[in-house]
Amino acid sequence: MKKILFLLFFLSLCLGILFSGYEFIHSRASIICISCMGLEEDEE
Amino acid sequence: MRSRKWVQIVSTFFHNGYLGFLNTSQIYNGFLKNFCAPGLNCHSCPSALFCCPLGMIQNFNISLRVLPLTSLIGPFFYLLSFFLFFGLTLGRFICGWLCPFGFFQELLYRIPFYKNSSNFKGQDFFKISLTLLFVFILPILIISELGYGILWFCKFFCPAGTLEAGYFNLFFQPFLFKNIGYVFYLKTLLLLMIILLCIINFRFFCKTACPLGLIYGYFNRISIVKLTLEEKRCPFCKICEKVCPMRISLPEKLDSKECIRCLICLKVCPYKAIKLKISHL
Repeated sequence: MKKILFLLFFLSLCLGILFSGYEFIHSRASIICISCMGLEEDEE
Repeated sequence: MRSRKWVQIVSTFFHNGYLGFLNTSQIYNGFLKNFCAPGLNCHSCPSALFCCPLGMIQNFNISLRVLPLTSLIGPFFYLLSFFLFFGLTLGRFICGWLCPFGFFQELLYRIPFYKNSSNFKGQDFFKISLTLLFVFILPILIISELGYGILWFCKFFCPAGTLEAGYFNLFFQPFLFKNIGYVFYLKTLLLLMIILLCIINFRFFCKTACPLGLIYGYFNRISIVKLTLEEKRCPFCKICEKVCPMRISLPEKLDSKECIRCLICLKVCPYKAIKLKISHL
């Protein structure tokens, strides 16, 4: 079971990097998240 | 356990090591934001170096109905790899030793006040329901006019987000005050309630509401770092159970998904029956 999950981890990491998954993460984490702060979005 | 305290202090600074915000008042957006932090730490905190894994799950979920599925293959596998890595290597060892919000709760528990750390019925059900509903179901199902969903857990619940992102950013960027609405007051009330309950009950948020702890908890049985019992040595004196801050039935449930691996049981066991084992694959 553990071996299978480790294999899945390596596969996921490879596919994640291959399909540029880090760009999605970086783009979302690099801007202030108004929702996380509990603030309202600007209407304009 | 003094070493754990120091690891927690170092980890808190490791999660929040960006000091550039003192000059720019902006959050960090460099290379390290490509990676998820192991613990609960809001990536909108001005000093955060990594992204929050829970925030990213929700960001992924709210994108499901907007972005083409082919563009979400990469993020899906990338996120999955982080959870598998942290879960399979450390499990909830992360909660006990690395999570900044867990450390914050332990500091709160040190405040002299009425204490009652007992668990209550239904806390597991509440945590699972909250996770399923606020992290997965609602972000996917309910969408705004623009087609995007809402980060339900972050927006309406997460006390780490209110404290780290909300208050710190308001302090450094006062123009954000105009965006304060009823949700902010609601979250502040919730944060104050959680703080009070954490002063009374050891790691109340971890026990009852943390989705990250819930996910890591399922890895406790199979993680590389785990606790084992040498039954031949153990007379079942239950000293370990008496000192367990998470109130787990010990030594029977050493693999419990509630165990944060604080290792207090291991330290107090007079028979050295509980061992920290680093297992093979």
